Amino acid sequence: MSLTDQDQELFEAYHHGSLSGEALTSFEERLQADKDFATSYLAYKQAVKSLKLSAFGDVVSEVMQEQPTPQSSPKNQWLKIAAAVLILITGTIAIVSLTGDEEVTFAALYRPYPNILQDRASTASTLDNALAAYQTGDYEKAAVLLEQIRQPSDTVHFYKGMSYLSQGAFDNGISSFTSIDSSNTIFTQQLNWYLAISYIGKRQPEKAIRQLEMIKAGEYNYQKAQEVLALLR
Amino acid sequence: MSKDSWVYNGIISGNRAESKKAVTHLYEKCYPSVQRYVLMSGNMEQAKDIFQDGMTVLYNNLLEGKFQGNSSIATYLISICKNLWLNELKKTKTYESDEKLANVVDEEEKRVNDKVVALLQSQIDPECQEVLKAYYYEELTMEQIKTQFNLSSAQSAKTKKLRCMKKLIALVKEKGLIYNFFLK
Repeated sequence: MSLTDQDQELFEAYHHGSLSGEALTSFEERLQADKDFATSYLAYKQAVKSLKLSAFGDVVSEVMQEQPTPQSSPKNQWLKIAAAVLILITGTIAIVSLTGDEEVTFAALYRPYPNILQDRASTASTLDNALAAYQTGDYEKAAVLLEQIRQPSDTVHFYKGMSYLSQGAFDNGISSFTSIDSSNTIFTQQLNWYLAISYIGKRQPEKAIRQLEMIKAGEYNYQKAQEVLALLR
Repeated sequence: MSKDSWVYNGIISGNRAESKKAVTHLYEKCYPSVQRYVLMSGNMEQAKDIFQDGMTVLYNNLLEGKFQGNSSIATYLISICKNLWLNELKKTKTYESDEKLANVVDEEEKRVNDKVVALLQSQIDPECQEVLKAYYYEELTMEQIKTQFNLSSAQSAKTKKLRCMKKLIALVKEKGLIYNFFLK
């Protein structure tokens, strides 16, 4: 049955909660008894929501067109290096074309190191809260919390470095990583890799090479390091 | 959610200027992270699509009261975008991961919403779309719609709105694109 203007106005009034008394009772009874009317009401609700989603989508598109895209880098050797490592890092993930316009530099190389302390049993300390933020991708909050820890352990320095790196703050990341005594920590192998890609992010290939050369066979990301070295040299 | 309340209010306000301010804030805060995440296995175009989709899912979830305020809106948006990207990769059946994310995207709801939006854009004439958005999103009065669309009277604005909406409801009904089958 075709929807009348009066029905539509009833839908609106019900949707906005402005029906009351007998009108409300009568409307709800009709929803129960008349399946076609009830379906029309649900279609009305879906239509209203979709109109809002579409209008909001217009606003998002407008903002995205006006705002600058985060800095892209020139196509050069870095593109090849990062794209090659992208293949290695992503493993079974579908690989993008290496000859397209993809923006693949530090971003392609970088993958956050997992929170290895996530299952430890303890009361919620600043470190726990920081790592929880890190795990959900709130790197800004994680870095702020980690900075508050007065006597930072290697773990604190390492995840602080990762949090900065995730925000593209290479200098702060390098500073945190180099606060760790790399000869005496459980993070030795990871430090070599993440320092290397920090230098790649800073366009300092010599330093990146030196760091990658420290990764020995069988160590963390050894194979990827060899691939990057081959392209950097 | 107090720190975030202006963002929340801006998004659901229906006021384009307020909404734009909130969206710009979220874009500046979250887009770089989303882009980095997508670029690990995708390209720039996909990063932009995921962010745009993520914003729409965020708005839907705010409208539906699904956001509990347990995290900041920015963190919630990033989780949504990660969910969307992982779902996208899973469709290619070449993705394996033990990454555990909170399930913040209702795929079926998104599918229905996307189809109705596509239907709206392809089957309803552009002026009708704008009139309906002005009424249902911006919540303009018939008097304001009359002025904005250069119509002869508030009554003719109302007639136009009813006619356009009638067509959209009929299309949604005909295609069976109704996600919520339960009356509130």
